[in-house]
Amino acid sequence: MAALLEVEDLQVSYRADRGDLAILNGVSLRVSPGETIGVVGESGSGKTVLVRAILGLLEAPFSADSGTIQFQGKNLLGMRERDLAKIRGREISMTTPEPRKHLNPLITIGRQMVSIIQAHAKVPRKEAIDQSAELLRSVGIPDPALRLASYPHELSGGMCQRVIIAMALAHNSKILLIDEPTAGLDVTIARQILDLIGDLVRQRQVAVLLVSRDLGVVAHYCQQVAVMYAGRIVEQASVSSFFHQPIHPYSTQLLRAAAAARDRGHAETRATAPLLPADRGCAYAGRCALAQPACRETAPALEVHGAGHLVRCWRSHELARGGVAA
Amino acid sequence: MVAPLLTVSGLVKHFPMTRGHSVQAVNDISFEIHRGEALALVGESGSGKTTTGRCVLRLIEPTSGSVRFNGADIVDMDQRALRAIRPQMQMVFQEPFDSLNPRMRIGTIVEEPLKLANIVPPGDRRDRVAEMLRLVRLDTDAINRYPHQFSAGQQQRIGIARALITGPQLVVLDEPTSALDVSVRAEVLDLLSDLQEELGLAYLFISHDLTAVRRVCDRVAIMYLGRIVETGETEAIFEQPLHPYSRALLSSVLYPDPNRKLTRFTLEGEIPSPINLPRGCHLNQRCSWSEPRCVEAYPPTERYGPGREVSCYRAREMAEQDAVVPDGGGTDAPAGA
Repeated sequence: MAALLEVEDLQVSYRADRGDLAILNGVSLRVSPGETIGVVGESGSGKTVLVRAILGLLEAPFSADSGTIQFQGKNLLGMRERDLAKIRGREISMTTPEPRKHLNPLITIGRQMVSIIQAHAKVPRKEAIDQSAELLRSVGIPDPALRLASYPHELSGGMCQRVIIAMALAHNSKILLIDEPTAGLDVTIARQILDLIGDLVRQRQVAVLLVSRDLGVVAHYCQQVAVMYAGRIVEQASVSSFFHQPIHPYSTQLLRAAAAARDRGHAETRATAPLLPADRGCAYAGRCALAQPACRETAPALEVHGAGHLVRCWRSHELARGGVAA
Repeated sequence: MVAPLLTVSGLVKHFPMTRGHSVQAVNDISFEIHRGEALALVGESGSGKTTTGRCVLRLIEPTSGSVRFNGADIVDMDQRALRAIRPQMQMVFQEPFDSLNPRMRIGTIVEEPLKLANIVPPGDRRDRVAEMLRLVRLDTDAINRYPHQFSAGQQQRIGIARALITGPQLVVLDEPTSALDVSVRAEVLDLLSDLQEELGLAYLFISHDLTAVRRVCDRVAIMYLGRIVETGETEAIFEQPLHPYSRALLSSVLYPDPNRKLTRFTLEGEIPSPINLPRGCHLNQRCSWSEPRCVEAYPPTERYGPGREVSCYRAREMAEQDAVVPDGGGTDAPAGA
């Protein structure tokens, strides 16, 4: 299927006194309608910057230097703010780990919803209220009529997350950028939210880019996965291919760390991720148990390993063959 | 049978509010921890697990109930007696950075409990600090540095070193890894397991992270709205949770394996307010198995095999439907990965 959103070779830097830092380094990915792509990585890997770049929300000292972000034949990068504002929050919606911050604390949920609906279609207030209630019901909010009269602080975190999703529905958004949907939510509530997102993808053919550090979420709610490390995608594959045969040493380490059972022999990892990517070579080399001198010299490129499975590692061919144990 | 290290019985903690209302955070809970045992206290926000942990250390005063540590009830103790016992029970906090004084050097931070406890001669304290840092696998040159110079995982190791320096028998860990990234989290969890084994520590491990619990703890107590609804050996509970709430909680865990079928045992709605607790079983409005008696009175706690206790009228019936019935004889479900 044709991609709805296509990020190509995106370069984002952070201007610091001592020179620019590459925060995103040649990131490319595509999302199609009815598909969910999971972007995983640890804090500082650039996941949230990617989401903000897509929406044109980067502020100094961050700047998108090159690459393209194609949405419906238009490049969002370099688009005038006025035009971008028509797309942002409308055709492309976003949720954050702190949904309450995205709701106006001084206005009831109902008035916020009604204003969205009336911005899109000339409908009488009464009808807009009914539509709002219907949308809240569709995202699993009980007593929608009551909730329309509530202020954001009167709702739980899970409820606020649902309201944000209902607002995206009110906009009839084609793309949802979902940043850490389960952060701060209790597990049973988190599952309800994920199921809701899954339903939207299936029923409305919404395209979802889901940022998470939880590989369990990705395993069950995404079809594609991109693993980010220090601003680069180091592995990208279908979920089944990735979980059956992860190739990049960082991916295998992440999977091992996420396992519930203890894996004593491999518990040892090396230090924490560098905040700044290395000047040259593979950014992961400093932490990688399999690093060779070549890894510190030049950065590897993304290489293809079977259908749609891309890996950025000098030793990926050996690893894919099972020649070395990661 | 050896006497437990910690025995909590009938613990209640209500926080008074205006107009005679109160937040009923902990409602009559009882549990034991043996020497060298790790017990997980699991539940969602508002379940009362953190309040329980704080009552156990008497960082807050329980409303009623007793907390016996090595046979002595710490609820009745005066400040002097409590100070004498504090070195044996320590705590590791949730937010690693916020729980370290940013203006103190690591050496001072880790040494502080020793000073307060006054159990080691001043001349030997620095050696103990160095020893602790090695124990949590930090370089000893950390002594002269400040908290902000460390990563979150390292900061949590510092918090652990500080808790262990007085040689405690019991450590209360309040969500020790929830602020950490996946790989760092794994390191800290494995460190905690190793330390428990090496030093024979007992843990009260408070967490909502079920995979972390499975990695570290021997036994699990599942809390819902201030009550323990089920306790048992970790693997037995993960294999076959019996209480409807445990079932819902455990079926919500997403394992990083796309082939593992998602089981759904859903609960309706959200957790009710602990100010207005539902009558009868606190789960009755959300539970699809609810029947009239569940609304009448809180269900009694029944034993299901060794160390397994469940508070639900219909748990046995549900277990029979699962076909694997745990009974008093200890024929637990076969252990598996």
